[in-house]
Amino acid sequence: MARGALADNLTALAALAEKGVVSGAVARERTLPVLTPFVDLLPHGALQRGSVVGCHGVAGVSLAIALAAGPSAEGAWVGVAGMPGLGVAAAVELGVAADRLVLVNEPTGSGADGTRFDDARWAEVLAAMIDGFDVLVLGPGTERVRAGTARRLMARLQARGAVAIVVGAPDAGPFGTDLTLQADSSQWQGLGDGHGVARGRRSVVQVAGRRVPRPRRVALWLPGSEGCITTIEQPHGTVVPLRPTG
Amino acid sequence: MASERVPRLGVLWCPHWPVVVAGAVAGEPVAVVHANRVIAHSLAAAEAGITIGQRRREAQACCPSVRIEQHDPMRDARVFEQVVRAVGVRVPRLEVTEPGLLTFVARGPARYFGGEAAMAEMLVQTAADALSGTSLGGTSLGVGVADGRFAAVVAARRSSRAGRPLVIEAGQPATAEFLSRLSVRWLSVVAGVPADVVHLLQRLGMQHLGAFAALPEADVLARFGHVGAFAHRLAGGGDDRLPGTVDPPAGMQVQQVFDEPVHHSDALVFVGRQLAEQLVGALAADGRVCTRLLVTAETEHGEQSERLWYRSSGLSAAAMVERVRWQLDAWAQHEALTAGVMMLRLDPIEVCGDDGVQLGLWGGRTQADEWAVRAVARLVAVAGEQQVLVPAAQGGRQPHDAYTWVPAITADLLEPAERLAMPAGPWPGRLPSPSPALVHDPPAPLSVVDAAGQVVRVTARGGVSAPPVTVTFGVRGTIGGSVERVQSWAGPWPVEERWWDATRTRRIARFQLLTVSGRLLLAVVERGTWALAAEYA
Repeated sequence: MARGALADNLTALAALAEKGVVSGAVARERTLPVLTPFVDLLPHGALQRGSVVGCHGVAGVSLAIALAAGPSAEGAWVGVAGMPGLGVAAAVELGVAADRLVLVNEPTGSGADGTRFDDARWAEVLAAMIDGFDVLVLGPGTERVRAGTARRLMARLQARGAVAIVVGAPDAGPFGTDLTLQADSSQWQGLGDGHGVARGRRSVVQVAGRRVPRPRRVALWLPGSEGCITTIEQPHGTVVPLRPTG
Repeated sequence: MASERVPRLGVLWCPHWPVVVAGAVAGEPVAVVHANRVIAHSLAAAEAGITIGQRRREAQACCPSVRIEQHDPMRDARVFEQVVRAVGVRVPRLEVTEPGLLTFVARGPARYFGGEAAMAEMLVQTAADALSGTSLGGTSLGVGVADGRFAAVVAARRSSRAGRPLVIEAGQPATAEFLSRLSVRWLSVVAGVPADVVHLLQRLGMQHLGAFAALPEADVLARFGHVGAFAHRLAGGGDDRLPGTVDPPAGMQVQQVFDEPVHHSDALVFVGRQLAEQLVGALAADGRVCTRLLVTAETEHGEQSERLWYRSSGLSAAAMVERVRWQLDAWAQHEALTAGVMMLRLDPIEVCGDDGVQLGLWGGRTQADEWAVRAVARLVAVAGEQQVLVPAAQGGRQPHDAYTWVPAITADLLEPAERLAMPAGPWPGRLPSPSPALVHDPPAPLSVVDAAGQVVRVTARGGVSAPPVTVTFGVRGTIGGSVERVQSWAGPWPVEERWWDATRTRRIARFQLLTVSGRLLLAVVERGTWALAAEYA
């Protein structure tokens, strides 16, 4: 091939790079896919790599697992810390791949179990998890991490492009969230007074955060009768938020 | 390195092997996926626009009628063993590069069978005969003979399309001539050169290997680094062994001779793991990794199984164990062994410098998997062996029974099928889904009282003494236990476990309790004591 054509191509490439053109493929790699019910709820319809998402409210744990299920089904690994009692059966029903799930269990500090993690140990554990897994689910056990440590970890999270999903009371933990999902007004269906069995929970999830100018809401089965998450079709458009009384 | 002669190699290639094993019939679109990415597809699927590396959903969008099959390397290897055995009778020292691809040194067999063309014809016939008795008969096979692994594999792949063996004349000029008219994409398809490098070559206007080979070597090295120089050498028909490939120092082989013959393949694989770790450790101390491995097993009566395994990126301990398992399973299945195994040996035939470059991952392991496995090893070092856990299926009626957590060091993270296979039920009395998201193991203390303040009891006939009204978390009467009113409830659902064993038998009754704050609890009663087993959080 002619040397001249090669040089022309190289100049064209350099010009493209200066403009900061990002191909579609690269832009897609900056997000992690989510399950269908979350597509309309989240900004850009996906989880932004490097972001911290808070899941609060009565259905917070189910919500966090359901958020992690999208990337997990697409081949991502999910690391869980600070939440020793995670129900694997529920996670599998919500769509998490059990073969790519790892749990780090903090010793209880009683008996021969070993001492609880101090701040430095938590920093090492979480750093290793950030390096290795695309999605981290952080339970109340990680709330003891110091604010300075948490800031360093979040910088690492952004550099590596993982996503942290924090479960617990709002503002309880040291991790500043980019996006919060609040799951409230939980109504269990199927349970009577001494009869029936719980078949599903209607839950209203509200999203707020920096990139969400107006809070968005959606009504979900979280979980539904098969344990999976589905959107509840609203006959009258959006859900009218309930006003607190008293 | 350039002074050494490039070996003359023959390659037998069964196209789309994972798809063929999955039972694809002609014209049926089939795709085999691993971790949601397509790793192999049938011809009909390719015509519909399905490509390697696509996500499953994209593949289904291209071709809604496509049949999706899960990747099963064990099955692929097991079925391929028929071909390996048939060809192995004619050609010594076969190397199974991956299920579907055989490599061997061509010089000896070619002389014996009267020329390379005759040998190639004979091999196609042998392999086709081996498959003809099975459902896989009629699979098109390709045989290529050329200088070096890259040219030979390319020749074999093209020969399967042309329908006749392809023999490329010896010598670097002939090889370069053969390659010059082919697409640069062969570099990433066959040799594992990163796809972005190949893509860049195409964007720079070099569609054919000949155009790339015509560039001065020094310029390519300056612009693309070592990966580019390696690709350039391939394109020019040069030595295609990885840079830094050498014969290992003598005495690197590891073996285990058993005092008692071993009859169980699991036990052998376990020993194989120890040997593999020992070997990988010894090589790593020199900063090397094994790219070609000879695995030998011998029974008490002298029956022997010997196989050569190759992986361009180097064989990790886990990869070695996997190959030991393939070999032993196939051996035990196809030959009626008369005695137990007395000796297992791993012998590194070729090693190369471990520069951390992952070239040519045959098979479908993703980058995410490699990172995760490394992270788990790091976590074990930081947090302790007992603190890093992965789920394992167990089966049972209680929420904490269906799955249990096992230490990650005892599990094979990349071969999870066995660990996560749920024992066949039925499990009568299992609560229907949804399952609770938080499980307390052991159950947390709880007390449940009726309107009169008495602890609710379960009667012998499976009823309750009175409806539950209030639950108290923590031990009743102590400070700090929070109290909540019950809104609705269901139960009791009795479970009687291991009634046949007087010492381990348990009678448990389960309740679902919904509190006014919206918490749904799964409570259990055993011998009149309440406990919180799980929570639907």
